[in-house]
Amino acid sequence: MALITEQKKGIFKIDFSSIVQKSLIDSIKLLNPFAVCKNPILFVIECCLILMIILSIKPNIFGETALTKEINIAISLILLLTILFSNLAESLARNYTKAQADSLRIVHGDIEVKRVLENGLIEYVFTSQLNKNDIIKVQEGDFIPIDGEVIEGVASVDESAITGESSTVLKEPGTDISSSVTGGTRILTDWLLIKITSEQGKTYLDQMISIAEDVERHKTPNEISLNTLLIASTISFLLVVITIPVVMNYLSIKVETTFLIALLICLIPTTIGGLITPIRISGFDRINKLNILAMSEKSLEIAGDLNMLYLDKTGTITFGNRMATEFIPLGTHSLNDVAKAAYICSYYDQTPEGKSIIALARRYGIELDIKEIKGIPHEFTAHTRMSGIDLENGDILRKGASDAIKKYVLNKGGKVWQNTDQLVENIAIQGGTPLLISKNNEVIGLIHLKDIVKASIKDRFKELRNLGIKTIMCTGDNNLTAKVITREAGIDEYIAQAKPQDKIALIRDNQSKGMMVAMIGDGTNDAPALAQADIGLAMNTGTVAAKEASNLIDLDSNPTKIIDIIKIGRQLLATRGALTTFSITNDISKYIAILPSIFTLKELNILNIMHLQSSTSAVLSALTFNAIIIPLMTPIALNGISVKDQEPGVILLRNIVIFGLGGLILPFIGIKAIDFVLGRLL
Amino acid sequence: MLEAFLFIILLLTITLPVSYLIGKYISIHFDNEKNKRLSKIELFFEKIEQPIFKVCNIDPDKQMSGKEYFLSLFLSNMVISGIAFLCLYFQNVLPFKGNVNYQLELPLILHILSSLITNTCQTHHIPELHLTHLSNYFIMPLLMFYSSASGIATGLAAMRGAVLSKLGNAYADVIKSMTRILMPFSLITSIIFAGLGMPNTFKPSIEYTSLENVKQKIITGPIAAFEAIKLFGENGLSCFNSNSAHPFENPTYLTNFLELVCILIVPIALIFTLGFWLKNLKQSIIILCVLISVLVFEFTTVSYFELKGNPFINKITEQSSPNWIGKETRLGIVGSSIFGAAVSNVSGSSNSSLDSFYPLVNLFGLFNLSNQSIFGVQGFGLVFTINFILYTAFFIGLMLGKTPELFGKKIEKNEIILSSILLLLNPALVFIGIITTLILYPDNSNNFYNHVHYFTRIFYEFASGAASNGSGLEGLSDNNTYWNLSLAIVMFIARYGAMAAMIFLGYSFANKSSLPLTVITFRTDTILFGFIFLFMSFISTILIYIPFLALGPLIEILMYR
Repeated sequence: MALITEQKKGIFKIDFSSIVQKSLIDSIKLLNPFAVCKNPILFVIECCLILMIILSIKPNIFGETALTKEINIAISLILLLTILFSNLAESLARNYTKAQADSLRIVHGDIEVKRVLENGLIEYVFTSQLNKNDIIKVQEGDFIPIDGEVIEGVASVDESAITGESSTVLKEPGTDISSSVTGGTRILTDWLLIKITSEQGKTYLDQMISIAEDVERHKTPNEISLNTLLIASTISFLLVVITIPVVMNYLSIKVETTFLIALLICLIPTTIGGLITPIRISGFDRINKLNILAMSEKSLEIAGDLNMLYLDKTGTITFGNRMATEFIPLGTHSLNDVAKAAYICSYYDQTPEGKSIIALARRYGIELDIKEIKGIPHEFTAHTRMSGIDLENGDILRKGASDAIKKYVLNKGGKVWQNTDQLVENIAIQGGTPLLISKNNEVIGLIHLKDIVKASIKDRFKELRNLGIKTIMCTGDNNLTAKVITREAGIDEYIAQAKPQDKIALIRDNQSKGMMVAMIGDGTNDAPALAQADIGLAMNTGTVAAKEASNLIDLDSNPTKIIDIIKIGRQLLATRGALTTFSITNDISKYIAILPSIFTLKELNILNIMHLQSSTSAVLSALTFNAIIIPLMTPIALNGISVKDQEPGVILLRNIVIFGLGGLILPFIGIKAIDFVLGRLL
Repeated sequence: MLEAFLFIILLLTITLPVSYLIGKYISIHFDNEKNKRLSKIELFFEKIEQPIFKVCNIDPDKQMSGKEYFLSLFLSNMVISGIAFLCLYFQNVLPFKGNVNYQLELPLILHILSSLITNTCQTHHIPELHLTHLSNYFIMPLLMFYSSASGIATGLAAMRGAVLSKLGNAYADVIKSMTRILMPFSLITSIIFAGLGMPNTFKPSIEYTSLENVKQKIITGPIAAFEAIKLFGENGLSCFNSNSAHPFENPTYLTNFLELVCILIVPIALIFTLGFWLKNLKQSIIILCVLISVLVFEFTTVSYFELKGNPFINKITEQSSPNWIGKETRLGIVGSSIFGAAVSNVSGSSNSSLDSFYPLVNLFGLFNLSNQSIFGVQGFGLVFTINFILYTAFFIGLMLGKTPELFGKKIEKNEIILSSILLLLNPALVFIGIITTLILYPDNSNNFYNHVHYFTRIFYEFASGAASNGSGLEGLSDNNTYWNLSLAIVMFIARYGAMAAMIFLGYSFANKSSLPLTVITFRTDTILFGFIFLFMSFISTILIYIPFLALGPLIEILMYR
């Protein structure tokens, strides 16, 4: 059954009604005992169901009973519903996530592609036949079938299927950022030769889909420990229910087998047992909705525990390049002169810095005719560390690193103004990079180049601090620059002049102190650190190496999304915890409802607090409540409880009041209400 | 009631400061930080211990793994039991027989051994009749010292693992528990007790001629010394069958009071040690507040109902006299009631007949024995307390949306499995015991009340065995093959199963690095935590045991109305 419908070409919408339909069918399929035994709680309910069916056929098989077949059948039905409800919750969560993945997979499915052979010929093969390191050719209008790296050609690619953003991305070989392509995206113009970088079936999308689909293999660590605890409590309640009839029998009090089964069902944590898988799946669903691919099931839970965040500076905190922010004239020269000289100097400079200088000059009102700039341009080299132009009118303009220009001018017997050194130093103190501009044999002014911190990043880092996470910036820059950026971006600490191996050593050092460390990066040089960190969040614009080393990939390349990841991780855990608490406090009320029906002793009449209409009605009401609470709690499980960054004590108190106290009171009202209706029917 | 309140206040004002000091003392002496500066007392004890370590070829600084620690403790326990077994089996052949000439049957020997080496000290035998002086005054104290020291070692190792990230050395811990805790404190206490009138002699008996001109013998022995280890080690085995009700063992109101102090000191001190090791005394105070308030609640309620007396008898006699049945007049209602209420919490020693109390004491008793953390048995009770802290932390962590942590260490699958074993061991053993007994040996009377009371007794017997407590409701005539063997097995599995789980739990935590405190860490030393801890501890016991508490003591209480 198709869970998605195609609205326009390439745009799919999730079809909710077919999801519900398919989930209903799935939940019946999941009744298969072999499928159920993976969840111990549901397995116990299913065993009880089989017992109840036997009792419905032969009510007296475990001794004389006052209960009629009809009541046993009713109880069997309620048990069946209990299992169906939990199956439904699970199927809903799974099918919804699958539908989302499917919409990506359709575009990513088995299509014909052009494989380039070694002799340069092209053969048509299916995507599934491709191997790692094969080279394929994709042309205008084609889907890129699988993740890879561009080795030839330039093309604009529509990545909206993955990122959700409509603007196209230019892909070309040789650069870190734009040479990697993701399976499922579409080429809009031109062509590319792509080298396949991932094994078949191991693309990011496949990984994500497998996490959503394969429930058992991808249990998260906390889920495993909670599951262990739930199994332990189930065992203890089994012991209780086995011992009760022996003691009752000895005291010559009649006890109905049906009631004991009902007691067991009410005591074992059915609510959380039924919802534990949907909670996880919907957590992953929420993270996928954020356009983040989770590569490992642990990553989400770990995110909730983070203590430390390492960030790469360039491209993460600041825009990739430095920008000119100020011209400073020296000596008798006017600002206009300097700006003009800078403009001319940079006209043939294609670097982003050069472009930013022109942009700044234009803001100063400098607009030059191309005719004025005739001459021989000199490109920047590592040796001269300056660039410039020899104009036709004889002027020689140069801009470059301060010491290089100074040396150049002095060598020519020129003049350096007295306050130059002072101004150069001032800029350096502010974390900027000073460039000097010289005209002929005189230094005429300075350009202030500066790292620009991305807007709004400061507020987001403040939020991180509230979440208890320390942010640390890693940069290859010098101390001064790092310090200024740290202050501007509101980062807690910085590490300057860091080499890739320093980053790993630092992360390892902190991990050994028990810290949970996240690393955000995009370059190949970040890859080892991304792999070492507990959470490596790679930007989609990053290199293939960086993405492969990470366990989370942000398709939108927005580093501050780590906050959302952390919140979703915490929400996942908190939802599970809240529903567990609810499930356990429910037990107390259910005990109070059922025990008087089992202990039919006049001495123990005092235990009958709820005064339900009859024993049978009490048992049926408690069981019915037990069953319908699962679908009632499913929306909470699927949407998650709200997580605010408050004091832990406040959050705890709120959750205890809502789910603990609520779990204690709700069954009282619910069971009493059901009993009110049932008592009349019986 | 005024007497009860004064008694409790005085008890706490004396116990708490002493426990605080001893807790600090333990925290210093059992923290095997290398390179630390030793105080004069430590140097003094080292001088005593060095030769022992040398003879036994022990390197006290060698850190053990969980497996090594457990096996060392377990095997040394078994070796001591083996020696004791030979001495008990051949007690008629061996010297120092005193007045006794009794061949112990195999099941009884197994029960005595299992009972003593597990620090349970459930007594199915009658010491005066069944044990020679060698057995009674040498073998029994040997087992009592060793089992108590093993208990302290287990508790300290588990706590050290969870807090200080190391497990320590089993042999060193056991020997140090004896040389630094049990021996010196027992020595001081026995001198005080002897001063307060307890006999302390190796003379087996005093012969005298009574006024009717009949020659009589009064059995004596090193009672003051015996009493000290019985109370300090939370053992509860005495050299007389009537335990602390015997005038030699508990001659006055004052000794009764002091005996209670002795019982409570070490368990409370260990919780203070937790705080010292965590460098957070507030944590200890919060936990102690919870545990002590439960204790005080039980003390006062039991005293109240004993002072009120038996409603049936009072109705018939048209008087309101307190419930004196099974109590010693010299110890008084309050002294007996509080001791009776404390029995199931810490030690198995008793100064009155629990069976004749208002059944409320059984309700409390069964709750305490099932919970095991309201101080509980030497060392183990501490770990059960930590276990409930673990559960509380687990749920709090989940509710806050963080991986749960105990004292800054992550709680993961492994720890949950081990703590679940700790939680399941008791009900599994008790329920299997109840089922087997009720099927094999049901009570034959026709009276419903007798049935109920018989069930309560069986429940109590197994609960006390599984909790290594040793108190009993008596009246089961339990010195027979079935009771001896079944309880020997229950006590053995309960003790060593729990011991293994505790040590591995400690080891599992020891291998984890502790996480730093951050603004989003929920602190476990707050009042809110105390309340959740109380709730968790209460609920995890009640949910499992309520049907049986209702069918036993609750019916009895309601029948009284």
